[in-house]
Amino acid sequence: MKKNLLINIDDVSGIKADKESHAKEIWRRLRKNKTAMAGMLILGIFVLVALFADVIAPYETAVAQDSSMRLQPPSAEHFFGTDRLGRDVFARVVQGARVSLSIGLFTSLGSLIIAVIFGSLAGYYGGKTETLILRIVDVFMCIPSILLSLAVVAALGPNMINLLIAMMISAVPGKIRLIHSVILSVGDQEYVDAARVYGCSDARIIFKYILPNALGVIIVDTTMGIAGTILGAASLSFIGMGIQPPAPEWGSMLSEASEFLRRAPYLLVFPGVSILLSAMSCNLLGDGIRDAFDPKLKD
Amino acid sequence: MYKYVIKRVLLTIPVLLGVLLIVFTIMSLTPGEPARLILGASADQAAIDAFNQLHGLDATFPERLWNYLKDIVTDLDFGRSYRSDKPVFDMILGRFPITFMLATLSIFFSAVIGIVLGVVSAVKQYSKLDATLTVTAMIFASIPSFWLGMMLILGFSLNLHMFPSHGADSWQSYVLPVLTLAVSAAAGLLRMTRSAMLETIRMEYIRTARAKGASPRDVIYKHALKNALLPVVTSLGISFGTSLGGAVVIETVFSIPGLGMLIVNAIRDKDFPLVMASILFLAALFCLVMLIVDLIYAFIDPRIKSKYLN
Repeated sequence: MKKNLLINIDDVSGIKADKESHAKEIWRRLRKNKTAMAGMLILGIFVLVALFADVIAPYETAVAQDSSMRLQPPSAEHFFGTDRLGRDVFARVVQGARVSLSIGLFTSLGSLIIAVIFGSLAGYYGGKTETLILRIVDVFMCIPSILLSLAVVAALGPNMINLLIAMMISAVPGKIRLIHSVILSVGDQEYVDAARVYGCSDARIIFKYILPNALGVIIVDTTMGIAGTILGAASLSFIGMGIQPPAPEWGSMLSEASEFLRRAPYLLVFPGVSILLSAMSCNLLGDGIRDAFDPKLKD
Repeated sequence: MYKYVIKRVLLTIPVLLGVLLIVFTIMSLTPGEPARLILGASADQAAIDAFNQLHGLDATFPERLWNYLKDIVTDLDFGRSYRSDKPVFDMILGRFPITFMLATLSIFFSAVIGIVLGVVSAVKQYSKLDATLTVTAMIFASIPSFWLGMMLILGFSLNLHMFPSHGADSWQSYVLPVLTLAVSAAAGLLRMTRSAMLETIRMEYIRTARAKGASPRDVIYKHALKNALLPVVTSLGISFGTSLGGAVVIETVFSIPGLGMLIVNAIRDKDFPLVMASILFLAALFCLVMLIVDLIYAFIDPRIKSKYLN
């Protein structure tokens, strides 16, 4: 009955066309931004390395020890040299890309999902739910994030899964606040009222009408969140509270390198530059996407 | 005004209780019994019972939480170390000044560097200087601080012999760690100040000030800066928290015997009361800093003042 009386607001073809050109417009602006493109290129290289890590340098070469080849400087055979156990640093850096990037990606996406659930509950329904969720978030935000992650790892024990949990717990509160404010600001637009009058379910309004219109903010936050997670996870692994050796991870490789600063400074270079470049590429891209979505904010 | 101050101070109490609840809960998630972890799998039941009784582990979760809170409030007693059996509060107090000093010094320098360069960058927007500063800030905001610390040791300690590479015995030993922490905080503050300043410069009252003929210098320093710095004050407070966390990592790099080293070693020893109290201590300190930031805010932002005038 309803369907016959009202226009189906989902498939008005004009809106679809508008959406596409809007995305194109954003992409056009992003493409003109040289630093953002540099970020995207670097990130793209890291993603390719992570995806094809086993082709470039199989995992076995990253953990294979060779006592006759300890602490060798970079050469044609070992591009980045070898570490104290004679392991090939190049293979470890390549395999480390897979570890760091997946931690960054999984943490960002996982915490985004949790944040969308709680942020929407708080922003959309308001009242006591909102107060309760926001107060809890406030308390979490009072604990410096690395300490919060440290507490989780200390309690559960250091390994990959617990590191992921720890990074997520410290990333979620800030994201809940973001989603909450997004829902508040987009939620009182007239087209949201229209959807409500039309009789859309709450979930449909949130996922179809509110969140897509806040996509820019969410993508920027997620991109920059990956950078923060890569840095945080590397810090935890560096102090021995993250990924455990012999698994190749940039932070724990640097921890091992600290014993040979004078003898083998090259051990310091490659994992460090990898962390820096991967984090920076996400930050550059995030900055660029923000400008592309909102040209007013640029400058 | 005092109404706001009292309200804000009282609001800190539930937050601190919440922090305690969160940290306590997280630390109780440890799989297995602490007594087994500490005394070893071969320990007999009598020894385990004695250990549990000594550290109050024979109670239920709510009871333990209540006892912990009660002891803190009444006697400032944060429990005893599983390893050394000393009161953890005393152990923390001995280490705390070093970490506090590191975080405070680095925030001071990062504020000076970050805010000044942020203003310069915004005022000279689109200049070569602005481009250089923004790119540099981007690099330093993405640099892993522990790696920067190691590079500084390699350069200034091992090669140039200018500063010691470890310890906290003299003022020289603070130079490199403070620099390490300050640089990344300064990069964040620069970006923040720059965008706040650029936003303010586009406001209509600035155009008015220009239109009525105020000198460009006055417009920037008297009209724009004051308002642009408001959000920067908040991010200074947040940076302090980040620096406290960062200090935990940096102390490991420079072998500085502060709270960070204490925490890292305590985690390795599975000395949970010590880990929990140290993290609580730093989180409480951060809450207090944010309280101070909010109070400063109330005094410098007339909008908050006027809200509470009646």
